[in-house]
Amino acid sequence: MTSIDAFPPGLVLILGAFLLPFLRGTLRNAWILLLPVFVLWLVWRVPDGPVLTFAFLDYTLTPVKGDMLSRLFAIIFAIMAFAGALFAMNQRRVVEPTAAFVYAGSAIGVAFAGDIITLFVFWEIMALGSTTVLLSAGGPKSTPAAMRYLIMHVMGGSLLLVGIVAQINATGSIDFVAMKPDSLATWMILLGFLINAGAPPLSAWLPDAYPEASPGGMVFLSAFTTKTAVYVLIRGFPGAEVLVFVGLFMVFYGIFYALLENDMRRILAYSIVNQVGFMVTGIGIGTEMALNGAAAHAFTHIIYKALLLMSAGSVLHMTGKRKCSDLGGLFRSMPITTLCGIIGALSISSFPLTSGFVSKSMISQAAVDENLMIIWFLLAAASAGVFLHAGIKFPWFVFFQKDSGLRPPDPPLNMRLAMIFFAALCIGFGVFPGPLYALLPFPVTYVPYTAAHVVTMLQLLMFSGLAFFICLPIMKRTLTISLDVDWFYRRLLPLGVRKLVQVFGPVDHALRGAFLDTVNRIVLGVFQYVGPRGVLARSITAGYMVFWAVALLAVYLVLYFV
Amino acid sequence: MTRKPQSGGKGRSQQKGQDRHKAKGQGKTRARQKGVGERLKVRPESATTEYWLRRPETICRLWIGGLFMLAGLVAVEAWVYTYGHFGIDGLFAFNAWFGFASCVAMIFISNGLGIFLKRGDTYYDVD
Repeated sequence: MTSIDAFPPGLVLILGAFLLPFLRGTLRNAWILLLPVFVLWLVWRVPDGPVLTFAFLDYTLTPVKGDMLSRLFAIIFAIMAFAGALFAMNQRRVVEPTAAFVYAGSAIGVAFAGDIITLFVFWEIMALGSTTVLLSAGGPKSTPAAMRYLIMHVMGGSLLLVGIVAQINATGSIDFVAMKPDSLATWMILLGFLINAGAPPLSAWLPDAYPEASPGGMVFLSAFTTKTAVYVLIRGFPGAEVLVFVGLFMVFYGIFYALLENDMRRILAYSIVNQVGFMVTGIGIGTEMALNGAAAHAFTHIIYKALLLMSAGSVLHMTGKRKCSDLGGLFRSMPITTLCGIIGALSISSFPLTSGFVSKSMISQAAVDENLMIIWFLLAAASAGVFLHAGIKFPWFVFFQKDSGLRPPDPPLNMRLAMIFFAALCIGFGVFPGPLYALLPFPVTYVPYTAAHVVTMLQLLMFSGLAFFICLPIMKRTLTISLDVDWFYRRLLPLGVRKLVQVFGPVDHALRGAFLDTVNRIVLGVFQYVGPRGVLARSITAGYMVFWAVALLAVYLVLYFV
Repeated sequence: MTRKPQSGGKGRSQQKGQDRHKAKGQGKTRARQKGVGERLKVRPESATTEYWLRRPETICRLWIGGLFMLAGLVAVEAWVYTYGHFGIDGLFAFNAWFGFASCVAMIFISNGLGIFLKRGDTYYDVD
């Protein structure tokens, strides 16, 4: 092992990001593309076990500790940093790629963290990086959205910190190992992780914030926060039963809200919650097959979700529009974007020969293996629902449906190349799942391509498509949003504060008035004595002073003789 | 940015072709002109204005093709053994009707939720 191997790969990306503001033109573009590739090479070389340790206070920190699970997530984070940077390369703002690399680097840092203190440090850097990505969009809606996002993640980070401190106090160890939600400390840690995963009841932060990022920004945002949460849940809480219920709620929450949504990027944001729900359910089932499925699905999800968001981002970049009701008929002038969007949509739907087919079906198979009938039925229904809201709805309303009259060309070359790269990976992992299975944390014996599996999956998806087109008249897009939990802190809380001000305002006014009157009276009283005309502040003539000095001396003499 | 319909362009080139042939005044060419004209006349109006994928007859063909494909997917189960682990999932074409029914149910449930949850898209913009 050379000295470079002992350096945390995530930190290389974070430090390398801060060179970007000093570079210009070709050098900057080269740095943007080569840095993630170099980090990917470093990640690939991380061996099993602790690589770097050092003493901190009374503890020994392990910033880099490798194993199959860590490498799987770090590899896909590095690939994502490369493709996301390629997609966003044509934008001039330097803050966004810098923040995005810090964000990606801290996600890699979390994946290799060998102790919970290191994990927490990178976790918080991730929150700062992602907030900066949101802020750098600079729109009138992105700053408030970024602040709400930051508050939510600071709250999650605080829960996590309290849990970590309590856990260290209880066990005396800082090792990041599998836990059970059976104490206040572990529950706090679990809640901190789940907030980042977009779990209920606070799922709303995700569709509230992500769609307000720039086209390139949302591609980055979709990949790291929720997937690092999936990683820490796989490592920290495998087999925690509560996660099955949380995951299933997320799956259907994502579907129902995405079906109601008109904004194409909000559809995909709800779809992130839906897909993470599949992973969380798999973690809750907790068998080797389920955990492999959750890990594999996180890997493929990063690719196809980024592809879908690149496709949506290209449409936004070229048309300036993001509502389905304003879009349609773009397949004629944006063929590459349409094709890549369709490949992403088929992948998310687990269509045979795409990456989703070889990953998501492992979670369903785990439910079958464990005889979890209701969970299997719900997952099957949800798979049909995914095809409904993301597999058909997104491409149909954006690229087909009516002719919106818009004829934008495909986006610039770098954006097209990024989409083609990820579309190729979607097909590549779908056709040849072997390399992906070789990266999974447990040995894989699962065979995705059997005639029965292909036929049943095609039946499920194709008949879901039939349901979509039959029900199309009742799915017309409307200029609406759907109320979510964020209503409580975006509407109810400000409204409550206003009402409180209305009710207690007069009381407060009277109390403050009385207090000020009292203060005023005291000041006036003091003023009478020390004011310019007061007794104590009055100007005194020299003769008057001499008189009093003589009088005092006389008193002194009298007292002396007495 | 907007392009004119392709069929419009085709129509213009055919018109030019007709003029050129008229000038030559050859009988055979006139017959061919008549044939072209007849073909244009019998085409539905949509064929000359709409993109091919948006024409009603194309959409009709797509529906027919799609329904045949769905029928084929169900029929193929007669030859492919699909094992049902929980009993009910072993019913013939289970995934077909289950996928269809669950999607219809989800659409109706989401529409029902929409009655209570939907607001104008400027809801949070107005204070």
